[in-house]
Amino acid sequence: MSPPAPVPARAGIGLRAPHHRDVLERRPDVGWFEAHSENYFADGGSAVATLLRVREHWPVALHGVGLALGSADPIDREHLRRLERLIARVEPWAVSEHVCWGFAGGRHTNDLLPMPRTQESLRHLAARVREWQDALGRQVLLENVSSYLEFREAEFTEAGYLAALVAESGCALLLDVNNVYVNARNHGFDPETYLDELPAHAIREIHLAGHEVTQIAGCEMRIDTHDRLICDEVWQLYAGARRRFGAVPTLIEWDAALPALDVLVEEARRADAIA
Amino acid sequence: MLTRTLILTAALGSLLSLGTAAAADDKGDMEKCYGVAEAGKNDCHSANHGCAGMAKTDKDPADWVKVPKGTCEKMGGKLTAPTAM
Amino acid sequence: MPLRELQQRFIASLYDESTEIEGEICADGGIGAADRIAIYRNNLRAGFGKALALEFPVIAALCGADFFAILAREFQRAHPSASGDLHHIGGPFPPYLRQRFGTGEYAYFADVAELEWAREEAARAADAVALDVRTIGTTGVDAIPALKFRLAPSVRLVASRWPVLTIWEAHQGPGEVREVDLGAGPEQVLVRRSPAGLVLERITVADLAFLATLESGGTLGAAFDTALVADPAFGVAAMLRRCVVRGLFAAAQR
Repeated sequence: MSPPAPVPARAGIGLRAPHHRDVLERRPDVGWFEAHSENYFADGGSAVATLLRVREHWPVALHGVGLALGSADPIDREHLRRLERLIARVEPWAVSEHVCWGFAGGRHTNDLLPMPRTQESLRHLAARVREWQDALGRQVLLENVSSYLEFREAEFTEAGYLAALVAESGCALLLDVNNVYVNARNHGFDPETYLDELPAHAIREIHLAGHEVTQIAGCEMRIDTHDRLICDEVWQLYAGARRRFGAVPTLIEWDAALPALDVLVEEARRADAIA
Repeated sequence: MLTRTLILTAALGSLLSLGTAAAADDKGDMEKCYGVAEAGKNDCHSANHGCAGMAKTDKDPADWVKVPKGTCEKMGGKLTAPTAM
Repeated sequence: MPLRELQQRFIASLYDESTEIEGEICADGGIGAADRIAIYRNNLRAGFGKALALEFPVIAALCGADFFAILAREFQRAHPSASGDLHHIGGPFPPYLRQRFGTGEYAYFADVAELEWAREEAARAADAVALDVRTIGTTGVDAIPALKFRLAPSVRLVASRWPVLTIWEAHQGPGEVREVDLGAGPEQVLVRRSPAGLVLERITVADLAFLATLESGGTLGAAFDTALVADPAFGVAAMLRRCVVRGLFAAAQR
């Protein structure tokens, strides 16, 4: 296999099983692919084989959704081992996870739960990230998550928490612009100020996705559904991010109600057209 | 016992006569096989039908569906299984 | 509040065991803490139910969406996800259904679920190099009955008192689900991986006995004997040929 190719500073799309055949047969003109690591944890079979074939033609990023580094309980060693083995096989240009927690007392939510933004949780998360980076021998990217609640006890703004995490752990950031916008609306802050507060040098990847607007108790709530086109406000915020952070490899994420591959390719083109 | 050994020896002999070509029988369409990947179960989005604060407004669903009401209605015939395995 | 305690309380509230966490959550902008937690609770249920339905699509169809949602929630309570990888949740589901439905009208659900889980395991099992028959070509006549074969890691065997494969097949394809006579008798199924995908194959009771003996580490002679008990006319040569041609035997591990 070719060595981890430098990723082009253009848009990629998420690799999802229903598109596997189309991707390999039609070789869409996109910069790279991102795969959800846990979907390729099997000992054998066709999923990993397909990912390795995709890897022959494009740079691939591995995006974890299940490590839940911010959980106070010990991290699942078997999960780490499988991830390490996958990284060794795929040689991804980026390895990422989320700024979140996900389990306690042996019960996993398989969701990306928001961190209480305290000094205590920051120290805990940063130590976990450092440990993981040391084990892998590489820098990892941590992504901001969307959320529907915040904990009262907060010693940082959300962007300030990310900046402190970068400073304490030496990790890089995966900036999900849609999540910034969703949280800005859900929790009432200015998304442009949020971007200003981030350490620009640490941002190595950007995510874009569609979300749903719903009503709860008569109030608006934005839900991060990844099941539709990216909305205009998020495209605008993305333009702002590009002005600040330059040409960062950008990913179109689509998980539910998956459309034809062409729709994703078209969204990737739109991202590339924004300078 | 002698007969058993003879039968097994003959069976193994016929296997060897297959050679290596036989084992490859099943692999003819290797090039077309990448479309069969099972859907991955791990994603990072929120369930869109799970978001409407249902817990407060819904009564316990157990109140309104007590038995399977899907295609099991098409599974007919004797409902007590035959005992022989 | 310490991180560990906060997380434990949050999980407890997702499972409706306590509401102690609510005081720790901002409730600005008109939406209360309970409503905000309910979003995560619904995500937890819907995400689990969706993954379970992907692993057990025939059970989901047999139940219908409403009942399956309830069944998934009950099962989740008894067997919450124990891993950051959702592929693991289905393992305890067949035994759970066996206990849940007992010997009643829906007793066959557990067997159908076993078949679906066997597919899931077969799809994800380790790859293996198929046995090259030349490597056993020099076996002395006396040693032949003592030969052992390692089944490929992706091979699974399922036996049921019901026509489980017929039920499974009735649910495939785009059309209406076909009617099935549950009294049609037992079925034995071989689940295997071929380059073109997963294959489910009906096999005889003797075939099953033969393969199950080899699977549990028994010798060729013992497998032949158990097969003969099930069917005195069992053709071992044809069976061995099928096994090799279909790649059911894996090369010995070094």
